[in-house]
Amino acid sequence: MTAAPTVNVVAAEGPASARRSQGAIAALARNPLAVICAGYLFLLLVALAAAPLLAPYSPNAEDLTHVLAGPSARHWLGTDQLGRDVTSRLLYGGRSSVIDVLVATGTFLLAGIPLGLLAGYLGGTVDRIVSRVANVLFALPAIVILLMVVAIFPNDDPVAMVTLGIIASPGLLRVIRGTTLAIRQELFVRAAQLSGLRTATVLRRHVLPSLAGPILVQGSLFCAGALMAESGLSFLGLLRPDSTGPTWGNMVADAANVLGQDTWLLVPTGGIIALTVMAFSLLGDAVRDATVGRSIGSVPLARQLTKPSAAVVPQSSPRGDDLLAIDGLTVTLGDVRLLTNVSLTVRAGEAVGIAGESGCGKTITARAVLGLLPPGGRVAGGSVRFGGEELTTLTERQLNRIRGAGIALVSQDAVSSLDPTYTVGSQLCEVIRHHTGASRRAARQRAVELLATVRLAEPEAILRLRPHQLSGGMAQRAGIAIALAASPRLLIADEPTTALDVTVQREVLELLGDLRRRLGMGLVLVTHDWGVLAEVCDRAVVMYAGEIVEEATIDRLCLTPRHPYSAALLAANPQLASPGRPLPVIPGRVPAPSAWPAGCRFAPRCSRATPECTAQPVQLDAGVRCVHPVTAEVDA
Amino acid sequence: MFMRKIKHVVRTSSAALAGGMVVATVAACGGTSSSGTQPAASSTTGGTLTVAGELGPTTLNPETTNQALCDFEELAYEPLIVRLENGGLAPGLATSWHYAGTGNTTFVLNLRGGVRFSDGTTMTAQDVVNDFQYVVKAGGQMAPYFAGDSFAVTGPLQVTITAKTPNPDFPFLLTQDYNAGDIISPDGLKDTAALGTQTFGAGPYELDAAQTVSGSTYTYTPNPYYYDKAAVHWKKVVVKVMGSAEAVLDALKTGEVNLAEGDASTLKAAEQAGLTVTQAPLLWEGAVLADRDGKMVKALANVQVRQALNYATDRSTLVNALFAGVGTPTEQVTVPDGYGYLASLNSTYPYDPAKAKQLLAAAGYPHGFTMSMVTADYDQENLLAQALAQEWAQVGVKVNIIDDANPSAYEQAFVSGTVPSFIATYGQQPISIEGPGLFLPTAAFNPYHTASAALQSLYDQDISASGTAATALDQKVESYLVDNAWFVPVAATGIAWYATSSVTGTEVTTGAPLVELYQVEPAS
Amino acid sequence: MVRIAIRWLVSSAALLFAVTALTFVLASLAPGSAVRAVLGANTSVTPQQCAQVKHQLGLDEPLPLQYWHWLYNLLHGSLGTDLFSGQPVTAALGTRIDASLSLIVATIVVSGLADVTVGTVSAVRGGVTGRILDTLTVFGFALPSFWLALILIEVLAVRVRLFPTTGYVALDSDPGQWLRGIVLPVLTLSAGTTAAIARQTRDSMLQVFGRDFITALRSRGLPLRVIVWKHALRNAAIPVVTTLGVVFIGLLGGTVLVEQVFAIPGLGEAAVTATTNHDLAMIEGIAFYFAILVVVVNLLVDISYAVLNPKVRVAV
Repeated sequence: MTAAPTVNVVAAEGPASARRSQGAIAALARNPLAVICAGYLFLLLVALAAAPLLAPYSPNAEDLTHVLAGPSARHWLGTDQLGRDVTSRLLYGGRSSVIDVLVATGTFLLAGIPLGLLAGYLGGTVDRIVSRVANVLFALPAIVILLMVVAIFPNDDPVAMVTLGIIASPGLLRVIRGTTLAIRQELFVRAAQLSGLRTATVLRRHVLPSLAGPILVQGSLFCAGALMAESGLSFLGLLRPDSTGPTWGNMVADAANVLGQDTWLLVPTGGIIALTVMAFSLLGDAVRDATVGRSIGSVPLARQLTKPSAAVVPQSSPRGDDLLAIDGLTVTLGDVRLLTNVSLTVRAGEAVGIAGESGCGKTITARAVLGLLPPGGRVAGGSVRFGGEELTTLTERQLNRIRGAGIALVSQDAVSSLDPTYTVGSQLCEVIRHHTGASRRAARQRAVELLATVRLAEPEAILRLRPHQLSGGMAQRAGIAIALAASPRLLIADEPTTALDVTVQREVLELLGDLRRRLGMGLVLVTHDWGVLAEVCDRAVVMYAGEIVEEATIDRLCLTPRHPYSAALLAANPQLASPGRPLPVIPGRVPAPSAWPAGCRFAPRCSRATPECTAQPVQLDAGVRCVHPVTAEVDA
Repeated sequence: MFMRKIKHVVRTSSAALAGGMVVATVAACGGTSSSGTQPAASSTTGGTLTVAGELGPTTLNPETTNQALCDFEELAYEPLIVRLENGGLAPGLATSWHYAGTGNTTFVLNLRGGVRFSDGTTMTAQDVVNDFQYVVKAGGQMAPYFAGDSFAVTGPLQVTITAKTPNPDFPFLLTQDYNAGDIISPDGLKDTAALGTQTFGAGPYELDAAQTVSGSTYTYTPNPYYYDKAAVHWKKVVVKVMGSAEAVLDALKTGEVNLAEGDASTLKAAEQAGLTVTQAPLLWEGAVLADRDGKMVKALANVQVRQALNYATDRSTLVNALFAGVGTPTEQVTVPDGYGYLASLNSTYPYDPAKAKQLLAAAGYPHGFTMSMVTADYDQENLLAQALAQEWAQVGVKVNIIDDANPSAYEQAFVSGTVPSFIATYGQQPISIEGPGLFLPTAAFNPYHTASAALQSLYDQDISASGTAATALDQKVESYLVDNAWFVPVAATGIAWYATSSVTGTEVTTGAPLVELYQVEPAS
Repeated sequence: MVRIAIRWLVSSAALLFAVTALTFVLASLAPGSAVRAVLGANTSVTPQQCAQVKHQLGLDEPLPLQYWHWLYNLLHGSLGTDLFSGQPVTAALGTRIDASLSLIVATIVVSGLADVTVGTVSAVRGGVTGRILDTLTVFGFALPSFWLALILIEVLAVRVRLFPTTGYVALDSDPGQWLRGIVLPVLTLSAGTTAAIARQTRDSMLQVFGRDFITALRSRGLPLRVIVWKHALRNAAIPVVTTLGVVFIGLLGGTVLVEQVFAIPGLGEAAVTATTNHDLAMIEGIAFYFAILVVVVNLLVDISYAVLNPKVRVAV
């Protein structure tokens, strides 16, 4: 007997305001399953309340000439061993069972809510004592306590139900306590307290509304469990026998007894219990979904995977020696465009930078190459060719061939790019073995070599470390080592040094440059830092609001930027600032993707803007997307 | 209840006993039924006999166990006297016996020589005397029948029982039906605690404790020292406890089990499944109107009231509804052709609610009255209680039913004299045994100790009489009980036995209504 | 590691004390049953006899002293004597523990493997599969277990003789029959556990799929099955293991019903018989055994945490 209901093991949800409760009710109303369950329960309760009116017979009226009859016009659901009408008994029996469930649930709520509130709100010793007791109670095997109580108080439904409620209450207590604890720390509660409101008022006005959700969820699930427990205990003959009146539990127990003579009886008696338990459970689930909501991270994996886009016709013809050729790439997320018409080429051994502020689309561009767009993102137009092969029309599986072996990626946050539950060595060897098929020993050998290549001291020791034990710099180097494992022809590094401090930055950049030269590897470096750009790259593009606004060699870009945005960025670079003078910043903000203007997207912030700029989309011309490019040199 | 249909009341409850004994001269027929023919017996020893039962014993101690569960004892303990299938008596551990002198107070037993217990020790007369003394000391259900008696070794293989009051039924009391005759080895008597979980007998089998799980599976292997090797038909006997009648039937259908005691609820299904079904009437089930002196319910002191209740009972409908195929209506506390049976008595109280109301009015209860009744949950007693309650409600008598799943709580309740009436399932017995069990002031089933001089006189005459005079007196006692409506018997039922075609020897008769496990043989 | 061990010891001791003390207190509310059990069904019982038996059983002592005696016996390996059969409780229950354990462990293994797979697949596929999973698993939970058991017996054991209808064969006496005998009970028990395990797996996996390293793993060209089953699952494991622990304790209750229907001689079946007979010595013994099982499970769960949680593992 599953005496314990499906308790919500996940920790208490965060705080929810009253507004959110209203939103929750709306969400609930939209969920068809929830509506059906709530409707069923409501109708059931009405029917049970109206039993004297609805029941065709008295529940104890015996008809000894028609025992164990199947469904018929006289008895819609048949009769039992004493010829009593099953329909009537289900109606009256439901009242007893519902009362039992209410007694259990009432106890459950009465025991769990006040104590949980107290523990969460008052904290300190009260919390410690209550939590300790609750934990012990929670850990007790409930069935044993229940059986003992039933042994001492036989055939006593209320006592058994109260016991059940008490035993299960720690589950509720924990949830209430957690929620209360979180709310207490909310600012508005603090404000209320400071403004002198009494504890009770604070509780009532601010805390209780947020508890409605968890209470409903736990209560609903517990009702399901209590009904199951009642039927189980009755089946074992431990609760009220049918001579004192029907309950759903003793009806199904009687039906099981006569299974050999009458197989039908078990259907309505067991069925009503199953249906009602399901209704309670599903309703509880629905309330939980509506009040908690889904966090951003809970997207099925399938939705994250790449779906190949339609066949594309590249706008420009491919150049033979291009390693990577991005041509007119447009990426959307739902209805919103994230990138428009991005084009970029990288030759073997070349280092190309993508520069811009956060939100300009540079990371998306990098990700798009490898088909690692966020859930819902798609390539809406353009092409990406790697070594002549079109990537945008490949499936996830096909792309996987290229990832790691052809193109590798190094991310910004190195530690979180590693699986925290495996050692560095294990993850490194895993990639090596996958791509080269090497034996365990050979892979380990290569791993040590790789770690040495990225200039990590004591590579053997590093292999045994776990990600959380690495410093930022070590982690980044390890990340680079993993990226190099399969000897990729192109390395995309997305802000590889942003999270590192300056000295480490320098070392990693040197490393990248060195690797590029030695291995003849292409490099795409995404960054917002001009110093980084200048250090490593041969060429660079500048992106703003999802499009490329300028592309040039590093020398020309740093000395004579022609797009007003590039010029402004360079001027705002702290490294070039004059001491004592305020830093020239660009007024305004980057427009959100849903609000990109039709013409030049920088125009609203540009000092050189004219109506001509905003009239229509500006084309890329000689490496600049501008109507009024800067021609003079930048003043130092 | 799904399980716990204890058949203990079948044979006995408290001090009551059951077990049909018909002296060989009376034809044992009528009332028995069987479907499927008994297969021929095979001459070779069979493999494993698997028997299913709904309940297991709480203890294996023959003297403290519930006497109804004697299946578990019979396999391992040999009684002094064996009751045969046809009702006759045969030598067991005693080769001959007789009453010395007159008055049925001195009973002499001559013991079989060379009997060895399962541990190899030889049985002596002193062992038998020690065993009798233990019967009394253990205080079980048999103790009252031997209380106050003295036991002596009166020869190298002879034991004499000297009883204080006449007891003409020693031979029957010492058969396998009553466990008192099951002789326990000296080791067992020394370590009475172990008697609960192991066997120390001289019977055809012994318990294999290694393959036994208490309360679930009991495995018996042949006793290497048994004196009659030919009577051991199986290499192994396993008794399995299953929770419900359905489970038992399922196990028979699939052949997992060869033999089991049946149940009214599965009878038809068993017949349809092609099992050999045998049964013989053995018990009556009905209400005991215990408070005949009106201590708690004044109305019950009035015989008219009690008769009214009998008139208010529609026995044929009740039997059709609850005991179809396993029972017949009865108005007397015996079964057809049983002890004291008189066919005409079954027309004493035809179903007549109007007459019942009349009688109640005449007795001063025109608006009826209220009384409580306690019932157990086995043998459909609780259903019978509710059915009776509804029928009696038609004539204005309100019954408050106390339904106790716990059999010992039920026993305590009715035995304590705190409930004026109760439902009982009682075996038919020789009147001499039935008196102390059912209707004499000292009987357990007479918790209010109601006494009747007339009844007592009939009883006293009966136990001193024999032959046809005894039979006539039996019927007089029965008539008294019916005419004075001490009870409201409803159905005469039996126990059905289900067997697969792999075994034989499961016939039952009124004289021998219970299948003896050790007599079941493999079919050829 | 030492800290974990100490914490486990303390909480286990607290649990065992709580369970045994509670059962003792509850048992003391009904001393009459024990007396009745010893005196048997004797009809004429005098108050003196009652008092004598009470004294024999030590029931007239103050409660803490009774508990102390019980503890003392426990430390000497005895759980008292079953008043009905005269058998030591440890002997009576010792033979039954492997039946219950077989059922529970087999259910955890089968249900764990199946439900974790189902939950993972649902987290990977998502959408309609997820909704169907939610509803189906609740269905399994909502069916009364004895109802399901009776149906399974009728269909798979009686009609089609695939499995035995009832009974239990010990593993060491006949592994083949043991396996056959536990299939139906394990199926019945698994139906009830599916909801909790599958959902928790799905929820945990979904959370893991939102983490950075999943994308990083994809970028390395590792196949999806490696990412899901080797990496994601391990990161999602801790809440799932917690759920398995909770499910285990819930199964202790589940076996009570299932052992009844399948006539399996386990602790659950003994518990019901003991309850009906008011055999308090047995109930206390069973409570103790159950508490021990809970303690062991808690230990296993704690050890799993240490294995799965990288921050606890000490780098060698």
